[in-house]
Amino acid sequence: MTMSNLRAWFEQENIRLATFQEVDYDNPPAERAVLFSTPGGLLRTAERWNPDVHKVTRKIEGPHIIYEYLNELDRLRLEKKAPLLVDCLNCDLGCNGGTGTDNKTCTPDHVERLVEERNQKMQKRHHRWGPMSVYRTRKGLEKLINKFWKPGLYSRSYENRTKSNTVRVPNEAELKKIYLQMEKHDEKDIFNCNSCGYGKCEMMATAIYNNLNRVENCHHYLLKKAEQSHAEVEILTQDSIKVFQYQNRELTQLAACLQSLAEGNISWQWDITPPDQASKPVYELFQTIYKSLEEVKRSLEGLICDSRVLTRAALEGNLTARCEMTHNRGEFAKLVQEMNNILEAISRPIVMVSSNIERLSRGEIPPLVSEDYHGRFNVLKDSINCLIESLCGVAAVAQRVADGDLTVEVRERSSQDQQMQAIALMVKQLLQMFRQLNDGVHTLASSSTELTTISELLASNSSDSSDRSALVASAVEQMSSNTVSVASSMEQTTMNLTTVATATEEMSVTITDIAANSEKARRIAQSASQQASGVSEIIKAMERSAQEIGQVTETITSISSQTNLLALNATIEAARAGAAGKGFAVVANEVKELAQQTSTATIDIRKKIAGIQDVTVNAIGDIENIGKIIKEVSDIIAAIASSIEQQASVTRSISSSISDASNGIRGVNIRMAEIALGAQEVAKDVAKVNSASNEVTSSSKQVYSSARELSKLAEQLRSMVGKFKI
Amino acid sequence: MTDFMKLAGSLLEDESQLVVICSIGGNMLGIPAGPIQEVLAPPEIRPVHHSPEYVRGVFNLRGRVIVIIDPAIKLGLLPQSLAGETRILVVQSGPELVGILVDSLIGIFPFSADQLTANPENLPKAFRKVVSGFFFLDGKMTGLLMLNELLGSGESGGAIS
Repeated sequence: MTMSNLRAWFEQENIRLATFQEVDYDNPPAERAVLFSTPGGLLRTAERWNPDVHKVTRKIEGPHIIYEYLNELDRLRLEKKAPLLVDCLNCDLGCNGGTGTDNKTCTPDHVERLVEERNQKMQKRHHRWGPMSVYRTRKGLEKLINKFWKPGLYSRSYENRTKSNTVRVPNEAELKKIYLQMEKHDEKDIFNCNSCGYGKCEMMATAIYNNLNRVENCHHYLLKKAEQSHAEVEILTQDSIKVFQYQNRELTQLAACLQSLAEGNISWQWDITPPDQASKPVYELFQTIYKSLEEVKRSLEGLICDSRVLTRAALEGNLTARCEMTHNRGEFAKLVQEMNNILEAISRPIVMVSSNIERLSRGEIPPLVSEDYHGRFNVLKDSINCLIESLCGVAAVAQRVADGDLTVEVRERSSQDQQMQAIALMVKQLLQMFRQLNDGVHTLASSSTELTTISELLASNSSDSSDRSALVASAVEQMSSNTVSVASSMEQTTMNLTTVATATEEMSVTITDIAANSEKARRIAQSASQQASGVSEIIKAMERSAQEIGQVTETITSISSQTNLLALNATIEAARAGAAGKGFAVVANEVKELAQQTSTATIDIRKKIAGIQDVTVNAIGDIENIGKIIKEVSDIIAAIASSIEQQASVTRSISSSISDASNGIRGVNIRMAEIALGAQEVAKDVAKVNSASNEVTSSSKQVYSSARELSKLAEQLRSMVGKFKI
Repeated sequence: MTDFMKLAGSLLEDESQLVVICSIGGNMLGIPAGPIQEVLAPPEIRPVHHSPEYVRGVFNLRGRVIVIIDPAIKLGLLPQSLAGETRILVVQSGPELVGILVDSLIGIFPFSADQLTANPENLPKAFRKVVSGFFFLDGKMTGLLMLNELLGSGESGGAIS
């Protein structure tokens, strides 16, 4: 890729760089040296630092002259004729005319104007404002340079190493061989393009011959290699298209075969087309697929054949016929196994039923069938078992009736079981006869037992009643003694309450005294407060007088000031009158002195009055404070009085509560006495109950013994009937 | 009293050498007593519209209309305020009487020309125009005002008339 290619592509794609937004370079932005790309830019940048530097600078551009100039520079330096700074660029237009720029269509003035605008912008950005701006701008630049500068940062040195290589010149044959390596097969391929920098293809070949360069650095070689690669890619692409087409064709046929298999049709046809050279691997793959498909077809045909054989055997009643599994593999073998299993499952129950029925028909009772069957086969098995069981049951019933056991259960196998119904009727009628007999005996026995139980219950109840009444009696005793103890406690409480009532009375009297005393205190405080406000009034009057005096002194001050002015005017007048006014001047001055003295005295008076006023104000404040304190005392006394009043009322209420409590206790005492009386009566009643229950106990004992005798009689009769099992 | 005797003595020698010392905007300044007609407590001053700033107004002196000027403004200072100590010096300026407003009056003192020292070089321009020189009064530096310059056409605009 070259810049001219890129520019041509822009042209083709209609991309105009000028229409894009202007952006800065990706690398860190230029600080000061924005003129680096412009011819003479270095000098201009240096001039900003030292304006006189142009006097010792050489500005020189272009490859045609600078190399000659630089060759001479060292000699000039030794002759002390060389400049201090050389500003030179290899290109006439500097970097501004470089291949990467879009300046082919612009004049240098146009380009330089844009560079200059950027220069001004950057200078403005880095310029410091305010006091000493020039100095601070310069300091900022210095700081930046010191940040990056290292001694020898731009020092470069070169060494001529041509002597270390011995260049062998290739002969004609060797040269031709190298040319072949460089893909130069023809005279026209040697066209000296100078892309390698040697200028001539022969030089490049010599360099390669001496291992000083490689063929990969030859432009022509790279071009040829690229063309070859391109051709190879082309061939590959065509081959792969062919393979694709072949694959598509064969896959379509394969799909048709599979479709036919899915529809259950196994007679398909697939003729594989003979391949070309590229499609050979794919062809082999398809052949493998074809073989597998054929194998599937064979397996399916075998299965169909097997199933036909089995069907025929079943129709002919041959239940032992089975298929051979070894012909097939995997899932196909399993399929054959499953078919065999079906036959096995059907033949086994059929064999079992036929053998059992055969034995029954001979009058033999075979054992029950114990193997497990499912579904309809199980019904078959149950029916066989039921038949065997019923034959066994009839035999057993007959045997037990013969032994005298009438409780035998005769089960009918169904409502149509006539054999069992007849046996059942016989057993039932026998049983009824014996049961009626047994019932009579049983009723007698149970009645006598009941009688015994009742008489036992009566005896135990009466005994219990006797125990309970004894318990009640002791409880009443306890209650009576507790009542006496409560009465004595009540007596004590009554005495205590009386003492409290007396104390409360005394307290009430004391509180009344305190109330009277606090009322007296309140009156005294009020009187003090009135006196304090009287003093305050007097002092306020004093203050007013002092203020009036102050007003008088104001007047005096004003008069003395006017007098002073008059005296001054008199002095001036006297001065103008000259010698004639001399005496007058003396008098005027005297007047002035007097006025000044008056003024001084007045100021003194004013100060003193101010002092009196200050004291008065303080006194008023103090008296007001006294008044406030008295008021507070008065308030406190009033508060005490009110709380005492409250206390008195509380005391009164305590007193009345105590009286109520006293009354209550008396009531309680009376109730207690009543309770004691009641308890005594209860005790009497309980004693009566006790004697009655004792009588009941003795009668019930007699009943009990009679009942026992009756019970024995009934037991004897029952054992006689019990010999029959019913 | 002794000061007064001195004053009386000097009056005998040369009456033209008296100066009235006053305070103007915090500066001690002397005005030759000759042209001063009288000293007044501040009367009722009526402002005059469209007049220069240094003209504070006019007042009625026994039937004559007198213009009052504020020398503080001519000296480039803040205007003086009217207070208890404020005085008006009525001076003769040509055919007219003019009132000069002063903060306070310090007194009337004798003065001779040889006491006067030249203006310092760095004195503000406004002062240099109207102060002819300085002298010491009780150790305090006092400037001597030139009445003609003070009342004449000044920086702030034109003659008083």
